[in-house]
Amino acid sequence: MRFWGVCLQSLLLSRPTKPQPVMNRKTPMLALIALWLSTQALAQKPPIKYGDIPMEQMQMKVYTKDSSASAVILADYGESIIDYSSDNFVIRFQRIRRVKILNKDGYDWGNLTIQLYRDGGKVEDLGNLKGVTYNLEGTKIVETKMKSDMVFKEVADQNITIVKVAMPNVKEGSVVEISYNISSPYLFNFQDWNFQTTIPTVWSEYRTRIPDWFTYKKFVQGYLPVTVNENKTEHKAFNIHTRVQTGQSLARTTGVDERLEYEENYNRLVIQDVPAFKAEPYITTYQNYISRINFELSVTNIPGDKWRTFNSSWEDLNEDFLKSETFGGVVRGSGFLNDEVATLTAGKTDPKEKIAAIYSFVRNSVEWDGSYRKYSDGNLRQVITAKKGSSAEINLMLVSMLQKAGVTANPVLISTRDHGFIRRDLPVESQFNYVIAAVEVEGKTFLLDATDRSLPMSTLPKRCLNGDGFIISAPGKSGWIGLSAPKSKTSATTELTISPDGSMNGKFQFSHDGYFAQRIRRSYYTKGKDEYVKDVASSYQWEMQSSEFENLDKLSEPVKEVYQLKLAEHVQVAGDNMYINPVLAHRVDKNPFQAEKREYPVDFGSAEDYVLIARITVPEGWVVEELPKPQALVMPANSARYTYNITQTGNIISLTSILNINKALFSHDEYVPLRDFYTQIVAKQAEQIVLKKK
Amino acid sequence: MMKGLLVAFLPLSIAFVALGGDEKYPVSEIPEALRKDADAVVRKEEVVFTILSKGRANLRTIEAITILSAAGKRKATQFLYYDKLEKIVSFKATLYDAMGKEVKRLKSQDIKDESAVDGSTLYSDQRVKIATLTHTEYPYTVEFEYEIDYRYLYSMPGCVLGVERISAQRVSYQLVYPKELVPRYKLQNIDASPKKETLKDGKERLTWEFSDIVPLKDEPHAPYDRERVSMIMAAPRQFEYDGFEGDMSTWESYGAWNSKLMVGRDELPEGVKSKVGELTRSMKTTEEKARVLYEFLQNKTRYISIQEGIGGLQPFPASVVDATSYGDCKALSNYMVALLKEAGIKGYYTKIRAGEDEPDLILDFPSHQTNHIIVAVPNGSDTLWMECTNQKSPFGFLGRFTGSRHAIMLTDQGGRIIKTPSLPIEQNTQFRTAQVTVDAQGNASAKVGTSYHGEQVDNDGLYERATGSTEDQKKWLQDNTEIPNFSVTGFSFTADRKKVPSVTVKADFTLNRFASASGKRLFLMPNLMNRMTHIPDKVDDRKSDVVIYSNFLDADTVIVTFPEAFHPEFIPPQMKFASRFGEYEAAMVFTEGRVVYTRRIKMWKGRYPKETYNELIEFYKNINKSDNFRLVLVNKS
Repeated sequence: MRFWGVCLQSLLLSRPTKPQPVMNRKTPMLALIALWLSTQALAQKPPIKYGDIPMEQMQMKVYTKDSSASAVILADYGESIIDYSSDNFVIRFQRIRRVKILNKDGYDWGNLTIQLYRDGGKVEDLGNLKGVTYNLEGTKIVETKMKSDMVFKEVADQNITIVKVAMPNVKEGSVVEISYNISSPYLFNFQDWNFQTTIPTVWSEYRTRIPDWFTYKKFVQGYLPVTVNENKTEHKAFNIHTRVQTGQSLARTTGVDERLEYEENYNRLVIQDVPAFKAEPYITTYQNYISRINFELSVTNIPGDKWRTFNSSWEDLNEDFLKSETFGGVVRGSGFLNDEVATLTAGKTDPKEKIAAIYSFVRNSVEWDGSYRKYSDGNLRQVITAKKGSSAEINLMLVSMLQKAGVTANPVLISTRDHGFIRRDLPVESQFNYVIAAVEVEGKTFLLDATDRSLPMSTLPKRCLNGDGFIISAPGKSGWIGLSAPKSKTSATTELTISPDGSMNGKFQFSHDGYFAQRIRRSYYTKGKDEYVKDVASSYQWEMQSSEFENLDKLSEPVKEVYQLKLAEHVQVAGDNMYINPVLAHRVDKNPFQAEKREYPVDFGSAEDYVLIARITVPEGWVVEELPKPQALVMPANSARYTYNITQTGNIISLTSILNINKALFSHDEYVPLRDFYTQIVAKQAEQIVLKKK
Repeated sequence: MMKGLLVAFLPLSIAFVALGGDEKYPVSEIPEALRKDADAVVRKEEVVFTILSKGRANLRTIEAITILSAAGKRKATQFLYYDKLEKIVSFKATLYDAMGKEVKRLKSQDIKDESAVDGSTLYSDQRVKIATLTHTEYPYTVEFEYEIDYRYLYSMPGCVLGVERISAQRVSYQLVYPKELVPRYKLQNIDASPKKETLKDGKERLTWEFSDIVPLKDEPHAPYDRERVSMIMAAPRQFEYDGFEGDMSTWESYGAWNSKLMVGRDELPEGVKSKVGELTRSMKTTEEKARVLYEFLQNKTRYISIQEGIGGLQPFPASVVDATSYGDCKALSNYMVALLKEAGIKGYYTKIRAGEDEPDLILDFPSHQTNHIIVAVPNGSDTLWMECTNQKSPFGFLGRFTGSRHAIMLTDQGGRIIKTPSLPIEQNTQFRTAQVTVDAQGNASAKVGTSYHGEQVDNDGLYERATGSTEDQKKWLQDNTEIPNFSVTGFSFTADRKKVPSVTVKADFTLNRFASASGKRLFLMPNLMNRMTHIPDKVDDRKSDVVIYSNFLDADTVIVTFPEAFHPEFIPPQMKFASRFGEYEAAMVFTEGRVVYTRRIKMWKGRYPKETYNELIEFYKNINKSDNFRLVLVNKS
């Protein structure tokens, strides 16, 4: 008889932010304790040995593959195995990191931060933490050992403890080596591994040994080739010594020895010569681009226990979310909302009207607390009372109310821009961190997010625009939907008259929708009208005479701004000539892309239009001597376009300047053309009109 | 008046209570004058700070604030910091709607408790409790009520009235103390003597009460807010902190107390003692010895922020720094003083308020006002200064972080006020020469050489970058080159590590479409990369003096070469003007087929009467205008 039920204690420990419905089954406690003696034969020698520093690493002055590096990771080696100890499965992780400090800017690499989980009483256990700083003095290697007073422990919050190590005697030329183990009872928290960081790494290696009773989904991401990817399966056996508790005391036991066989999956991943990751403008998040591997617990099939799955397909995941009390349960339940729904939809038959009414109710009644969640923390009644909720609470409430009103509505799981791309080949819930809503009207699907009070209903907040979302729906009906926003447009129309002294008077009218309108609304309400108008005036160097606003509170309409103003210094008067740049708004005066090349895509978030229509009246007694030439620039496949059109009729000069960014994402191959495109825009928009005195 | 109203409405308010609890802080009671220019209104603030003994105190506070708009939301969060010598006895947070009806009270689990380590600190034993209240409809009112027990007496909360965008309706500030422990106080921009009472238990109480305070106006180029607000500062005379007793009445006695924390912490191990001997033996002057020891410190140690014990005021012993080779400003400065002592040089641990944008010490009110430590070595009529937390800064140079302000030097006779150096204008300079060659399409190439001296090496961390990686240097160039389109084709940075340091940056650029070609004309701005873009906003009824915070001199020469077929159609006029704030001069000269542009600007550090503000605007406007002048070239062929 084998009873492995005890091991389930470890499976029952779940992350509080990540409730997994399948884990909520109760397991009877068994009075059987097993000792698992495993024999771990190492197939391959580790790439580094702690404390064995070759002289050439000590003597290294510059990292030749990247001479700008202030420090370089000589080797970062980690290994995770699953073991059994004190009645539980544990993940044993060990790591050795050896860093070469090349100059003073690299001193921070003499520190190391380790993050440990805890949940209730059980803390991940940090063990065998040791470190040595090696310095070359003459030809002698001098060692300075880490001591316990150089380790600082900090309870960051109730779930996370941070351990920081500050190594002694770190100098230019030091080699700093730190080694530690973590043993974790949280099987879902298998250590991920980053191969890349902000300094170069010579050798980064991660090995995993996992009994075939456990299946983890893993994915490798990044732009770097993997140097070694070795997989092996070894037949192994444990000698199990079980002790049966016969009385009150554990001392009186009868021993049973048993041999238990299993297959161990061994994987070894190496990336060699990893370059430093360098951030560039217009990227989503660092985490999206570095090379790394992540693990997600998928299946356990332990002898004596039944087969358990942890989201092994999208359909399974769909069902889990539907079943989850903090997700599907919240949507189906929350019956107290029925009255509110009835009031809101009374007399309305058009589903569009119902949607609009419920959407504004949710958005206006519950303020977003700024947190990104996919599960509801409490019940929705508490959320309504507190008037504050997470992305999950707000949008699950929206879905629940829409369903109660008879509208076809479903929650959509997404990963926000700072959380990383979604991989469709990896059905794991940790890829998602946020939830929005999808509604179906007349066969079309629309996406809604009620967390933002400065955007129209039709536009998702920019943070949501990241690849695809996964619709959670009735079994068989779940699926993917692209996350995009309609193009945002900002346009300016101006009529200005030039005086003989070169000053200009007239009016500007702006109209903004989408994210442009969001920016204006936020800025207006944060600063207040006076401050806002003052900032507008000073940014354009206008003397403001009057200002008017429309639709600031009407989110479905474009925001309009109308200004009367004087521009004293814009025109350059030079004897019998006047020079005027007619691009008086939406001017790109500096190329946003300064770097000559780029490794990563350019991500604008959404498509955009910038429009300027100007009518400029030439003063009495002056004539147009020269106008800039019209120009049109088009990027391949019309992904971006710029047109500059200028004409003269009598004493009126008319300009149309339109910049269309027609897609959100430009690949790194398109970078150089995009940079050139902007260079030409900057140049064109700098051109001058020349006026001459008659 | 108020009382009369209350009586008149009494029956009504009873009715309300019976129906739905009591109404506090209805928004309707805020006078219109307090809503103007305000994002939030302090409805009631009651602070009672009680000195219990030399080493114990208690703070009780009730603060109710109406948040008028989203911009005032930050006031709906209250942070209470604490450590092992401070105990938060109670902390309540209540939310009221605009009518003054209670909406909710935070439960203890709604109040976050976190470690108070910021991003730049490795370790701190400080923690923080955070209460956040939020409501969906503005305005709403938050009320925070808390009590803190201090098992020490050192710094005391003050009372600040009317900061930017926040007005106050009713504020009371009370100091309670035993007769033998009378605290000191200083009033700034306040003309109100406190009410003094003797309480039943024999303690005395000082009470200030204020009402209807309008927000402080935002005025550009004004003195620091700290100087402009109305406030009460308070500090003890006798005090005790973690077993260390002192007297804060004078800088001397305050410094003497601080020195006590350091007794016995300057012992050096034998190894480093002999190293000091070895390094300084052949040196003759104090300056040479100090320099070699400073460089030893810079090479041996690194800076790590660790805030632990006695409010983060006691340095780690020198022997610990010797063993670990790291420490914070206290530990590294203490170590430096110990090294100097070993070489027979008297160095002083010096407390200072650091930061590029920090007001100076309030000299006539000895109290805890500093956040950093540096080392001073008097050397004849001169003083040598050492910033010990930076491994690269030149010996004797303080720069904008700690230069030109007062500091407290801990001498054997106690604390002594000393001033850190302020460089004269001739030493804070930036000189540039650029050769620009433009072709007929307006594309150009440029060779630019710029040298930065004195405080100007702190421009966007230039000195740090100049001594850092080429990657950093390129980034600095890209961030600090104000040309619309450019590519860097080559560059070099050279840092000169003198007492008044300098950095020379040489760079080659290709400037795509530098000149705007329209038909037969080329338009170009010869002021290649030093254009003034700032014009101070107009201010009605200016209240505060005009302050120029730094001294500097910039001189640029740009030589523009262009194809022979082109001739200047328009050369902008020479501009030369001066004001009490500075001098400016710019000219373009056409000579030998080239245009030579020269620009020179000097700004004087200083404080000027508020009436001069319009002159300042005018001065900046003129600079802007001149800096944006375009040269027009026309093709005559």
